[in-house]
Amino acid sequence: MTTPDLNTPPKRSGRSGFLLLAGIAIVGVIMFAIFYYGILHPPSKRAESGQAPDFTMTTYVSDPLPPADLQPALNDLFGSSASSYCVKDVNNARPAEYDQVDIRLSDLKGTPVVLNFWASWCTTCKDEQPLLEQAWRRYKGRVMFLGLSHLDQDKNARAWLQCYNVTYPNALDRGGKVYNVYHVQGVPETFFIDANGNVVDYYVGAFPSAGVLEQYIQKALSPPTSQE
Amino acid sequence: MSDFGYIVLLIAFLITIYGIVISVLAARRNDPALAASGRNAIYVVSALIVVATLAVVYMLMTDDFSNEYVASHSERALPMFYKIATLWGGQSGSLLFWGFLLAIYSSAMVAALWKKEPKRGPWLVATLLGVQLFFILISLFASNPFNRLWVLPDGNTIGAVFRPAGASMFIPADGTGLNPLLQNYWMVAHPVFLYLGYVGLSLPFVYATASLFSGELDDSWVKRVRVWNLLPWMFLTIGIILGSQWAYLELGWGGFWAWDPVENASLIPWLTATAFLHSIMIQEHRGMLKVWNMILAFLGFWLAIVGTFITRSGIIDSVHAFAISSIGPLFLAFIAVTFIGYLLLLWYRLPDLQSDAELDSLLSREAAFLYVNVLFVVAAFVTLFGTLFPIISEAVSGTKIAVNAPYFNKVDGPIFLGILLLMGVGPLLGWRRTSGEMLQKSLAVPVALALAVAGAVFVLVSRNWVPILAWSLAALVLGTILWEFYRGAAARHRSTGEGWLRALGGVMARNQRRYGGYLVHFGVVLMAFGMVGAVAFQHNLKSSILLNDSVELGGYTFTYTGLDQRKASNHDEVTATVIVTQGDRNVAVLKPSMNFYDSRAARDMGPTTEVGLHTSIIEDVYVVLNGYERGGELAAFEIFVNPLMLWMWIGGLVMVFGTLFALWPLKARAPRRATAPAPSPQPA
Amino acid sequence: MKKSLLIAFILLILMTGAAYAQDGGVDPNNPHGLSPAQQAMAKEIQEELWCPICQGVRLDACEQKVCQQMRDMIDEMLLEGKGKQEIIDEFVDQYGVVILGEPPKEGINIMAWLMPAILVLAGLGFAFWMSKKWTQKKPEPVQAAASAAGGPPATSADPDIEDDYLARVERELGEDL
Repeated sequence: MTTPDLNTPPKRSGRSGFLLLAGIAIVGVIMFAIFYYGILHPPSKRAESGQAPDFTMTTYVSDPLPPADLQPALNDLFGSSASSYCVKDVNNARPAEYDQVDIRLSDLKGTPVVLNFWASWCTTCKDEQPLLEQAWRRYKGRVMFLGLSHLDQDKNARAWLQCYNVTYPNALDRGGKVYNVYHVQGVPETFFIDANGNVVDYYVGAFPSAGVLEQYIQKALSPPTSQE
Repeated sequence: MSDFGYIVLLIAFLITIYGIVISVLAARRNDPALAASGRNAIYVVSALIVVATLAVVYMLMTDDFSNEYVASHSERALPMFYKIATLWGGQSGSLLFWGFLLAIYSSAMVAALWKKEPKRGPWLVATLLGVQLFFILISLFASNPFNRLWVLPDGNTIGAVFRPAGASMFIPADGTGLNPLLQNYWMVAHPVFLYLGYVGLSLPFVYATASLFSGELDDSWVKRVRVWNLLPWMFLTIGIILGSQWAYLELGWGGFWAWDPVENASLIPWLTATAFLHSIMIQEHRGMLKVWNMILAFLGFWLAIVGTFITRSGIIDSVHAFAISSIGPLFLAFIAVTFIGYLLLLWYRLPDLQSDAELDSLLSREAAFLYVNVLFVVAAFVTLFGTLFPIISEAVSGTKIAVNAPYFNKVDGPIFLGILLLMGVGPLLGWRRTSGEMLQKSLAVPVALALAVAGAVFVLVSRNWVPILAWSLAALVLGTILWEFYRGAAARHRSTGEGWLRALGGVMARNQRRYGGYLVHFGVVLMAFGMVGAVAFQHNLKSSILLNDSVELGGYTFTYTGLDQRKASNHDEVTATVIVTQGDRNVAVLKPSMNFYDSRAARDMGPTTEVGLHTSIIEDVYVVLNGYERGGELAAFEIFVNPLMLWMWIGGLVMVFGTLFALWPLKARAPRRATAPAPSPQPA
Repeated sequence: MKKSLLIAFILLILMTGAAYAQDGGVDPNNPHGLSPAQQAMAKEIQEELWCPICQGVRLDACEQKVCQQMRDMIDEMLLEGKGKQEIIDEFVDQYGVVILGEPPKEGINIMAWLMPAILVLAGLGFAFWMSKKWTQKKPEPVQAAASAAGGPPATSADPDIEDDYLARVERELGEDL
């Protein structure tokens, strides 16, 4: 249904018009490729399932520094009442079994893993840290708990662990390397890895209750076939 | 009410499809009766979408928390004004609002053009409805503002239109509340203008598509589309400026533009729309750049959709990103379909889009327009690339990176300086060609002014090359504008013998487009002047001040004298009093405050800040209250001195005024092509 | 909002307070007792780093707790006698490249710097090619049209350039009558 325009003189800039279209098409295809990748791998989906990426973490020396050294960091994190706040739960002493050891995720195969990303500057992490520690003490032996501190500093992370009496292995995630391969959206975020080393689920944000955390741990504990 | 709105939208959906089919048929069979039916369909669809939108507004006003959108974005204690504004405070509401604005634009456009466009008319209707169909689909199936809340048998609450099996209705006692950052007058106005601009950018696209479909490819479309591009362009400009004003006053980090993805998403289509409004002038005058204009008409619309996709689909993190949602794939499909479809259509019509004229000289206005066009489009794509770059980098290297202001300043800055240079030189070039001597003559004043400014800045203010270069280029543009006004007035003064002022008024009224354009350029000069000053010469200081103690910054003394607390309807307000003095002179009493909102959503986010601001033509004094201790004995402040900020806002106003001046129908004009100028009638 | 940390970019953590709460005679604005030169250096470093969890907020203007910790770390490293570049490198190592304001010029990130240059050159090159192509073709008919039109031809040979310009202004004014 085109009516060729008879008044138009023969082609003059046909080639440049075509070139323009081709240029725009190339730009469009590149953009589309980026978007398509983005849609397939949005931050929320990037670590959803499949084999959990392996990593090695060097855990903190659990032997606490003399409290006097940590006191400024404790005050900074928990206010001037830090010392009273932090000694609330001292009935469980820190075990020494994870003193400065290298833990590799793949070495833990056969045991489900709860991998928690946190930070000492994160307020909502304060709400869930006691829940995680309680769960750890309950599931110790059946489930491994690992904590990685993101965008954090040594003394602050130590003060935090000291204050919450955290007894599962923790480490500083230097440069956010593990954080990046797990495509974490923000702290706190927790990954649940089953005995075969597959990520079965993850939870963004602080756990609202011990019950919710429990549900997720159960997912990691149940045989992988039931997940399908 | 949720069901009512949903049904209305569903009917609109059906009529939209009818309208598209009937309009395409009408165009193919050349049947005016069918065409009229299509036109009526667009009016009906528009009316239905308005009704559906009003249904959401009604539910917001009456606190109908059975509706998911109302429950998750509003609350009882919210002032009525903000309850209405909640319509565009969340994702599904804002997408419906988008459709609402498109409905109004569509009806206005069809009503205005129907008689003039017998051939393009049905295609205009079909394309407008095609765009509208996308937004209706989004609202109906991906991001539905009419979802109701239900409790499932397992105790979870979900939002759905229809009752899920075994579920019972759920009406929470109160809503979770509106994001406190949005509870601000600027933030109420900013999205409205931004969307008016965004949605309006569909109109040039629609016009171009109708021209391509109908085969009416003469230059009449660029003449008629001008208003439908300039108006959205103006709204987008206002929206962007209001957004910066909001960022400046609410976010409390002393700046007005963070190169955040959401901000970039509004700037990118603005850049191509600006290119378009310049390049259609070439086509109008010289019949050139036809393919290019077709592409630009498309790019403005397409980049607005792409921008929405980037910020809403969750492919990149953004501070004001809406919740990650399911609309991503739908948007991506729409982006792909429009892109491929439009390029194929354009390719098919390529033979009919030949230039009528040749470029006579590189020293001509059309050459300058061509270069400035390229720079605008390149700036748009460079900004888009920088915004998307974190995805590319993470995909390839697995490492998260950030692309912040220093990057954009480095890559966009030189392009913007190039645009300023062309703004200074371009208007002095004539259509077709300009002789070297003539250009020298007319450039003398602007160049002298630019050199004088560069020298003065170097000697008196700073040796930093950025402000020296930017300000002297701005001075060049200013000189050009003044020169043009002078020449116009002088020519009229000489030929009519009128007084200078009258002559200037007369010459401006005779050619609103030209002088309106210069006014807009003048606004850009003022904005550049202010922005460069604020960015290059900002001072800031983070300080905790004891009660009745003081600190100094930039020649001012800031004394903290007290802290008050006040209860507002849905938040607590803590206000500090800071007395600003300069030597013996009292400058201002500033009241920076922190707002602690009551709603659940707001408590998670922490308090918001209201800055204490004293503004003057020289500099802004800007104080943020960041915290306090021991009942206010000590308070933490961040203090900024931002030179020349006011000029940015004045420049924005001038830009808007200039656009209005160019658009206002003072007199009907008939622009003529310079290719075949009639013997010039001498003004009597 | 679960992602409150990312979304709440002006989150001010009041309840945890800052270190200056104690009455130990510590200057709240210089808790680590830096010398004026060190304070200036600290500010300089802060202006080169960015809040890692906000978008577009520089470290010196950021109120997040993570930024407070970063500023403390800068002070401490300065007290240890470390230099500016050393400190920035240490930050990149510990926090990652997200704290830089721009992509580092290495690996894939070089693309971020090359692409704008390529786009600018390609754009200007295309414009130049177009205008070259246009100007080379058929100059005569156009000139003929111009002189035939009666308007003064705008050639450089025209001695009365002033009048030519005015004629253009007046002709354009005339068009609008």
